[in-house]
Amino acid sequence: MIVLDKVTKVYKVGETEVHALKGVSLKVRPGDFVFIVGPSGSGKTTLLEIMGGLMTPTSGRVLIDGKDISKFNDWQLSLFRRNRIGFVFQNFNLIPSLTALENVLVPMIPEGITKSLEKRARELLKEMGLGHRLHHTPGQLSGGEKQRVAIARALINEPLIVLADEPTGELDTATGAMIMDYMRKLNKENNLSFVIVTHDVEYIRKSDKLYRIKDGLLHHVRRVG
Amino acid sequence: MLLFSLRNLARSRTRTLIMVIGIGIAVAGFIGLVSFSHSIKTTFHESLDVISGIMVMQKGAVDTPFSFVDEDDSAKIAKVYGVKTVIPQITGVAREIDGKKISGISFTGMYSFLGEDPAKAEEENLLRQYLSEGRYLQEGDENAAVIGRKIAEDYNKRIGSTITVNGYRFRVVGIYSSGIDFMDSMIVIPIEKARKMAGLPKGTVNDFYVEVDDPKKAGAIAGIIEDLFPEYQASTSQDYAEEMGGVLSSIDMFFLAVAGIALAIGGIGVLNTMMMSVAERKKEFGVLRAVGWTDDDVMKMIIQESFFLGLLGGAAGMLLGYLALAGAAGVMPFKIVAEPTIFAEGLLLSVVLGVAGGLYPAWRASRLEPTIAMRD
Repeated sequence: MIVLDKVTKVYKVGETEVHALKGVSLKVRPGDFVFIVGPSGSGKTTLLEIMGGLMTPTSGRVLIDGKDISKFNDWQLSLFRRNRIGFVFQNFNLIPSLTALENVLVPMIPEGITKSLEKRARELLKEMGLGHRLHHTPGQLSGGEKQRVAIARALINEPLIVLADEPTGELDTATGAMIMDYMRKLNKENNLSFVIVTHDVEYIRKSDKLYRIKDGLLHHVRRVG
Repeated sequence: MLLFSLRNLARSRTRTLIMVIGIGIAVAGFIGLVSFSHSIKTTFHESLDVISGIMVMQKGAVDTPFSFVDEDDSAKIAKVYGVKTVIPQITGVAREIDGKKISGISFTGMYSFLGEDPAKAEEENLLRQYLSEGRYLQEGDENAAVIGRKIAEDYNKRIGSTITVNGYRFRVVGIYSSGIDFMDSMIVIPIEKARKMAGLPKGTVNDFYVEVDDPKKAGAIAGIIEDLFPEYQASTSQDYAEEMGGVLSSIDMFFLAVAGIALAIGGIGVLNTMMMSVAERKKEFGVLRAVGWTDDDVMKMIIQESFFLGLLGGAAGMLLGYLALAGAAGVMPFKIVAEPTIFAEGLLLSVVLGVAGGLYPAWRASRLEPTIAMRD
């Protein structure tokens, strides 16, 4: 379980302080499919980055399975991200020189690529319907294919949670819907938690947890089911 | 991660290739210059080892052709205790061999003639000891010549061939070979012919070559000769070695400085290449950090890349250096020694250079804030 407890984040832009998060509390349980919507500049990406250990909050606690990662140093955070978090980005963020298979394995390169890891990467790509695209580089893939590679990469470490920042932002509606379906399928079949930041409300279903973020404050919109 | 690093280098092939050639030239320069300097020293010392006697010349003369000594003094010097024999010599430059002009000052063609008294030639032991074919000069010789191996090779001469030097015809009766190119570039002829060729009056020669009973005492005997004949200077190979030592170490320093500059440029090249490569991949490093790479992981990858740049550059440098030395071997008057240790040093330096050039860019890349780097 992930618990955010009165998390604030203050940036300094020159002399002025920007309060990106003004005390956000949130609980994500195993199997939750959470949407966070909000206008740009509302602090939604900041929230996701704090949950994923990409940045530390100014105050408040971030508890992952009871451990407060807000006190972690850079090295601990790196290992935490490598072992517990799966990230999916709006612009895919694949390494252009590597093939789909290699891109999926990228997070594990520092630990060494084992045969079983490689097998897992192949299986993940097959599950994403990319069994025939293993050795293609991002340049040879469509947007939807790239995002599926990115999802496979997010899953290579068997994460506790997948954090997706506008995962459909650069895709057309049909492809976006397909990507969203993939994530729902993974959520259902593996009881894997997802937190998805988006402004595309059309993909949200009644069964999802929905939050709205505005001016650094999080509002629980509804919880159905 | 090794594969990933290599892949990154392969990604911008042209840049990597240019960099490898750049480092290669720097390393080749190092290998070439250091080998060169070693070769000069080695040749110099080898040739000095060959000369066991004392060279007596006119005081202040730059070289034997500019020195004039009284032939009658040879008998007086011969009386000095420890002197075995005194060989009066007349030397000059061979400007023309077999009717062909030898162009000015060239490294390849410094041939000279050396006139010795055939009657005394038997006592001479400077070149005679290296006789490899035929015989040395002997009493009664008028048009006989003993030539060095290099001349024999360059002009395709055998025993019995005729050779024309500065318009004078000789018959080759012997060939000597000391193994040192410039020692083997002499034509030994009867002194009276040499006198005509050099245009020296009777009773004057250029120098005396003094053989001693005990080479270890050559220094002391040279001192005595100088005391007795203040108008002469007597030098042993040791004196030459000392005199040349300073010059050689200056040459050494110069070569090292040039090699150092070449290497420094190579290092700056690596730094520049890696800085560019890091700047271009800023976003990528952000992604790597986001998916769980530590700052050390990123640093390690970039250092590996620059290590490979250094390694490849070093290999290219060894190849280029070898080719340059092989090319120089045919043109230079001394033997070029390609020592494996110099090549190994070149490779090592190149790797050190590569890693050193990668350190700062690697540090810079590892310090990137992942969230900021990714948004670029």
